[in-house]
Amino acid sequence: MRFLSNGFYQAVVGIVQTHFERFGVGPSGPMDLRAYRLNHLILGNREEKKVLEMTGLLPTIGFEEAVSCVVTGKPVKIVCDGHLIPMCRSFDVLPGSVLSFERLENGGWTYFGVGGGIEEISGRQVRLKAPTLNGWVSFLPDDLYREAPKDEPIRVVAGPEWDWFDSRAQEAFLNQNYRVDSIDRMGYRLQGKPILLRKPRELISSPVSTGTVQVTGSGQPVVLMAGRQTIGGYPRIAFVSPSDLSRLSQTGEGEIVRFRKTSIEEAEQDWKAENEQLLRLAQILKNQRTSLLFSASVQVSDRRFYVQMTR
Amino acid sequence: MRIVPCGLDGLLIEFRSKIRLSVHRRVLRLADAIDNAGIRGVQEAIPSYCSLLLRYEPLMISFSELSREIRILKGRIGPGTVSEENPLYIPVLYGGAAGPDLIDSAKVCHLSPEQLITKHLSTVYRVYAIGFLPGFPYLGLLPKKLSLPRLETPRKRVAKGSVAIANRQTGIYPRESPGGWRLIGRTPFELFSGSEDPPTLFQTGDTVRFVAVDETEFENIRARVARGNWMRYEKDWGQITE
Repeated sequence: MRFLSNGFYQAVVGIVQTHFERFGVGPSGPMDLRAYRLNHLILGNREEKKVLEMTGLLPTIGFEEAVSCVVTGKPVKIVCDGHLIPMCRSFDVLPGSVLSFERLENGGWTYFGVGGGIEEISGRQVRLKAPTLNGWVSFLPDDLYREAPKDEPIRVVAGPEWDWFDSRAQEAFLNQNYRVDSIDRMGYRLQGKPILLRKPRELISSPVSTGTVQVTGSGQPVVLMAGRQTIGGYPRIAFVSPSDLSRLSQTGEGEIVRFRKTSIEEAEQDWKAENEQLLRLAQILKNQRTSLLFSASVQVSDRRFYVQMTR
Repeated sequence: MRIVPCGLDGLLIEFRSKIRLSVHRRVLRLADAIDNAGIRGVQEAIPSYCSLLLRYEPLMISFSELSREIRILKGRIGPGTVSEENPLYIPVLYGGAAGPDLIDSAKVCHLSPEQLITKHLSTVYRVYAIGFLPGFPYLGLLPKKLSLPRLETPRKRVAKGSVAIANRQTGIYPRESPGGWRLIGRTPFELFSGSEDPPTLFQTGDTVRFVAVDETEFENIRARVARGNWMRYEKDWGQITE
């Protein structure tokens, strides 16, 4: 497959198995881990397979091979050979097919995956690992997969320097509306009423994690994301519960974020529950596939219908 | 010693909040012990000046279970020392285009550029942490006399290999990047390669000395480094020149 037109940002992302943070190498990997995992579940790919992460103006893709595809993450209008394609639902393309997307206006991350995974981008050419055509449509059962409402607060756990802030600053952190000021893979800068340290104090550089909320000298929080560095010198007031990090990653510039405090034990429980839900989804999708007897797509004027017969 | 969560996959162990050799040795000793203990779920120990972060798989072990394991392990560590090797020698071309902030920095310190260089060369440094960029070593402690704040406006582009100072630290940029430290020289050495294991010339806890070189020598070393197998060559370089 190849880019007929380039987007603003498109990169091949995967979960890196080596742990080299002690050498200053950040974790990298997808910004929205949940969308990344769903992409794999729907296609039946193993978790280490790579996908395309995109934001802003998205590329137009031309295909030279028959392969099954899916788009997850930030919802975007998708058109393939003149047909509208829904998010989170696999579809097959053939040699000569053209896929285009609407622009993502104020941020967010969209993931494009193919059966067998994406290998690498070289120039405009995108090398695929071992293109597979599933010949069936996989989709997420709506009643089993629901996103949390948008205005729900983002859950955070107290960080190592939580006590460097007095109770007024802590309350201000938890009770105000933050506006997302700028977004990149390294971190999200938030803008609100400044929160100040109890007394001026310098942190001796210390390791950070994905989701760490640092408070800079001006009293504004920065949430560190997948492209982060490994150590930092700003007080770490809190960290985002990983169950809410995907939702935060999809918050656009100018949108409002609120925080709510949770405990480490609750955050562990929530994360466990989320992972169990994904396992259940994996099982359901697998059953969808194994119970399939017959599958075809039918073109009626400008609409395409999928016909599947199951056991 | 305090143990606190720093991310659901990060357990932070804090020692006395001081930049001091004795504290750093305790950090590395515990990191070593953890590496050897093979605790379930632990993926990596990331040391810094006076803290150690354990990256772990939270679906395999909870924060409270891991804290307990660390406390037990800590109780078992004897007073032994971490083995310390000979210093690594790093060639530096000081001043000129290689170190555009040398003259200004010397002025602020009330020193001549030559005096600043001599002071920078006189110290055996220790790698207190690696971070900011892959392979960027935080070297300490810089002599008090050379302690200057970072530049007010960071540079958009710092050349690869730049040797820089800030506060009581000196560091080397492994690749071109933005940066706010004051640039006093440049090394022809490579510091990082994604295809090697370990991928860095330095490891936290290593000792480092700088050696002044002229332009001809700088270019010779750079040419040699480009020929490949640079990590071996760079580690031996100090012995070759001695």
